[in-house]
Amino acid sequence: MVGINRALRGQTITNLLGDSNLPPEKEKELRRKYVLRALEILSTDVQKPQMFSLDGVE
Amino acid sequence: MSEKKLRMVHYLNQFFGQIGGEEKADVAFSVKEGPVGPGVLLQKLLGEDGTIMATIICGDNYFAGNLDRASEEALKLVEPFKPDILFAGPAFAAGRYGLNCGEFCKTVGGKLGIPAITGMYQENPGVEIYRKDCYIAQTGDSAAKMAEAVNRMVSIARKVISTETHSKVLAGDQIGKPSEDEYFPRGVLRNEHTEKTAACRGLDMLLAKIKGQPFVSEVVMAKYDSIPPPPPVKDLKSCEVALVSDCGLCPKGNPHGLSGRGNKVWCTYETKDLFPEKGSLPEYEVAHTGYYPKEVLENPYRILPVDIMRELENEGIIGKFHPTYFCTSGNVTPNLVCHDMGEGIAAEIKKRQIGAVILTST
Repeated sequence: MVGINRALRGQTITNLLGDSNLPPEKEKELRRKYVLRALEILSTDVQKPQMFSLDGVE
Repeated sequence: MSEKKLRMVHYLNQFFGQIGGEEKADVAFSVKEGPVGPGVLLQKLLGEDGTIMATIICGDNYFAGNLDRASEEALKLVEPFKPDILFAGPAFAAGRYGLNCGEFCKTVGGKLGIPAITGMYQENPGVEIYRKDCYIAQTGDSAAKMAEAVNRMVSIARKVISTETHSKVLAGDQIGKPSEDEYFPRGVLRNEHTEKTAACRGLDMLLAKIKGQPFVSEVVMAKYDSIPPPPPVKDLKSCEVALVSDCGLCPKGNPHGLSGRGNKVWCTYETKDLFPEKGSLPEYEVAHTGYYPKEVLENPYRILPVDIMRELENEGIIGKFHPTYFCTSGNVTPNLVCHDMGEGIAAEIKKRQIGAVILTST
């Protein structure tokens, strides 16, 4: 997406790393998942701009 | 031009105003009668059609240091001359000067209801920010191209002033398209009669493109830099990771004055102060009008996962969570400004030897 080399798609515009429908503990787990995925992507080799998701690659 | 001799005022910085160089960038305003420096050529080209009544000179730092104060002062100095048109610069590629010229044209021209003309090089940050507020003639990147720049500014001036009514209102109709009169597009929509419909023109362009023939696009797409992907982090356990965000979350009171729209500022906050681990969180605000901030204000960790980063550091999954949060607001900020902010933040990140960054964006 316009040349961002490592991009991770988040949840929603108003709540990027969470889901306000979830109870706080579950929401925190989701947030942790996102951060760990971001760190994983930072450790991944990419050759060109790539859009990632929590589960894989888009 | 018109029978009446037009009254003009010209704004210059300390260098072109012949006060001094960078060492004089803090000088306050001064007023000189008649033209100074590049104004002399400007007056010569205007000939009998206009008189530069005065030249307003100000140091680049003085102006840039407080735009509101400077433009108020400038207005007070300019008003008594009752000008019909304003000139500023040209600033070429000089960033501070360009921004100051733009602000001068926008504020003083706007308050007096008269046209204002300046000149800048295409990469001057003043172009994107002020092109809609005044006429910015396209210039080369240095004063070596002064004659060409001043010529363009005068040519624009001749077209902008109404010859019929001596009106101070922009004539508009007489100025050509940006490409014709060599100024930067002002975002003005003007109806034009064409022989062919848009569908036909579009197809003509496409066929030309396929055949490898030249064509002129009616809408020019923004160009984005392509940046080679940095190599991956080798070892997270020894890596220092920082959080950056364009969400606009900041302490209540917005001490660094982030703008909710078209923001041009970035700043830093220490996570220990903005997100204290013990006790209650302070009050925040969101300087960003591009998203509904309720969920983020309920729990800022939703956009700035400081809690998780701290946990991961404690668990040894990352080497260190950098104690500073790099904050900005990204809502309809021009690309060039984003580029500059990005470079600024990146330079600081590098200086602090941070290994990786997570940028959150709404």
